[in-house]
Amino acid sequence: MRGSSLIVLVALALGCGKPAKSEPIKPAPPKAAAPISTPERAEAAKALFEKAAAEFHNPSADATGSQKTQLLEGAAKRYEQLLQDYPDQKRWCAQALRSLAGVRAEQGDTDTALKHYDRVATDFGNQEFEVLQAWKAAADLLWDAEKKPEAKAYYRMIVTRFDRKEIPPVYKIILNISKKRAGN
Amino acid sequence: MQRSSFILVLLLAFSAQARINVTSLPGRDSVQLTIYNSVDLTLVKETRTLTFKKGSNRLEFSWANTLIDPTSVEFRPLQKADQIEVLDVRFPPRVTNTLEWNISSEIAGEVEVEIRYFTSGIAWAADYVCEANATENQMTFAGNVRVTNRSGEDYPDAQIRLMVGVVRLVERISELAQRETTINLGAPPVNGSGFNRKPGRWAGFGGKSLDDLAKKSEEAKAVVKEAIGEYFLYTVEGRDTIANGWSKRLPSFKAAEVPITSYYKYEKERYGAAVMRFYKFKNNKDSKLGAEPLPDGSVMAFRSVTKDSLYNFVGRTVVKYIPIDEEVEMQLGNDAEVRIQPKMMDWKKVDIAFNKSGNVDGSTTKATWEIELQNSKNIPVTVDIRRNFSGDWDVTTDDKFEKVDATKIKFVFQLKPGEKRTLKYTLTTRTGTNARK
Repeated sequence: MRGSSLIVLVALALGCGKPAKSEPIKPAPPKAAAPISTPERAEAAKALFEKAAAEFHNPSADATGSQKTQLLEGAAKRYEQLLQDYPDQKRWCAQALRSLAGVRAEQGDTDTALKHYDRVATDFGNQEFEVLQAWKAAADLLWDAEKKPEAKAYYRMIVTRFDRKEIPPVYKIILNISKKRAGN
Repeated sequence: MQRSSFILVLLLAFSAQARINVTSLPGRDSVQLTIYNSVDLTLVKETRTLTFKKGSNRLEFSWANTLIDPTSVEFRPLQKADQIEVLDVRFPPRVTNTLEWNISSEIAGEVEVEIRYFTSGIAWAADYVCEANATENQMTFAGNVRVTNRSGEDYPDAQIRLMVGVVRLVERISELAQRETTINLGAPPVNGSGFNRKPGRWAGFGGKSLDDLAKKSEEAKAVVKEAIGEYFLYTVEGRDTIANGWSKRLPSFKAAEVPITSYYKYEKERYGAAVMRFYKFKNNKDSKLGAEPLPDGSVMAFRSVTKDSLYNFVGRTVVKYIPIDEEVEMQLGNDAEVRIQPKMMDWKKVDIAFNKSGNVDGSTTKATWEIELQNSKNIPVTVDIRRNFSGDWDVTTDDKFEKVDATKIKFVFQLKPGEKRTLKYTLTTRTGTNARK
């Protein structure tokens, strides 16, 4: 008995007990349509970013104790919300992600901060100035923490991408210090 | 009032984590805006006096909620440049959209520095007011510029420079904008704009009364102009506060007794049945203008109708860029007081030619026209009447006319106040084998 039961179970598992007519294959559930960028959505994303910065992130710089903690979390929450709700708004998402990295750095969570800084380049590579800011912030964070080899890797990335003839004034200064620190 | 979005903070002690001895900076000593309309860019140059300590100093610059291009921001000491050096730019994680310069100073004390950047959102437009005298042979011509600031940043007491011309390269803009300003320390603008200008701006006339200043007004130019190759730089005299979200109209120049020619045009194919009024003048020295090209702008024209300078609105138009020595024709709309009415009085076909088969091979038509001209104004007027024809044509008339081209003639008449007269002409048109050309 036990043996036959086992056979039945195996047969069921293999589909032997199914009727000859197979069930129609259900189409995969449609993916949620990517939101279309509109001026209204750009304005809403901008407003959310500015609210996060002006009401939470920037005031946290002068706050202390639990107030600072709350403000940083408030900022992080809104940056995350922007990234989730407005993926079509690349410019504001890039700023939100870089700012979120800044919040995590301020909270002492260097690993998460670095992951977010990295994602700015991978997810929003076209936002050149955001990439530069993210890599420079990551490099400085590591440099100040005496993690020189890791910091040098970021400085090198800056040199590789931004060492060209026509660059704006801010890029020039960053490029010079990056070359120096990367050991080029 | 300066918006809080734009913050400069000097961090006197260098520390990666803590802000120690934070000192708020004094306000800007001066701000200069050079506005390039063609590319929606304004170069902002501001000077501030900073107190440095010997060693490392940190200076923070925020562009949050503004249209400042953060990549263009530059810091440079205007004094002791060999002892002050920017070593690094950082983006502090504690705040957003802020950069921090790490500045090494070999000296302790006050240093004047310049901070320079580009911003979008500031624009300017020229407009003109023409006040013709009663006889419409002279006008007072005043130019103004309206500066509109939607950049997100206030610019108090700013010196404003306007660039006319098409800018092709940002580098070129920067080069031009770095030229030293030629500031006119002359008298106040002659038409008294009523703006809150600081008394200090008239320092060049210290000790003189306002009447003295007014007497000087004929010599004054509120906007200084400077030719730079294909561009033209206008510097608005004095300083004005250009607040975010506001626009401000600044006087540019005012010239009195500018000779003008007032005339009327009639051309059915261009203006329909209306008689169009024009004022014509030349942008040259003989016309008390010609010191600079005049940028594109709208024109409002008025005519003095009483001795106490009561003005009638004549019309409005838009003028294109007017180079020096160029003649300008301003079309100011129709004027019902000057009437021109053509009527065909007779038409006949003559000299009909037939071919061997007896079919019409050519013909000649003769049309007789009368044009009634009436000036109901109390001043003499000049009218320019244009008629367009096609084919092989001839015009016969007792009046003088000028052939403009192969298909157009013009009659020009002076009409006295209240004068009514009739112009007659016969148009002969040949077709088919009758045509001579």
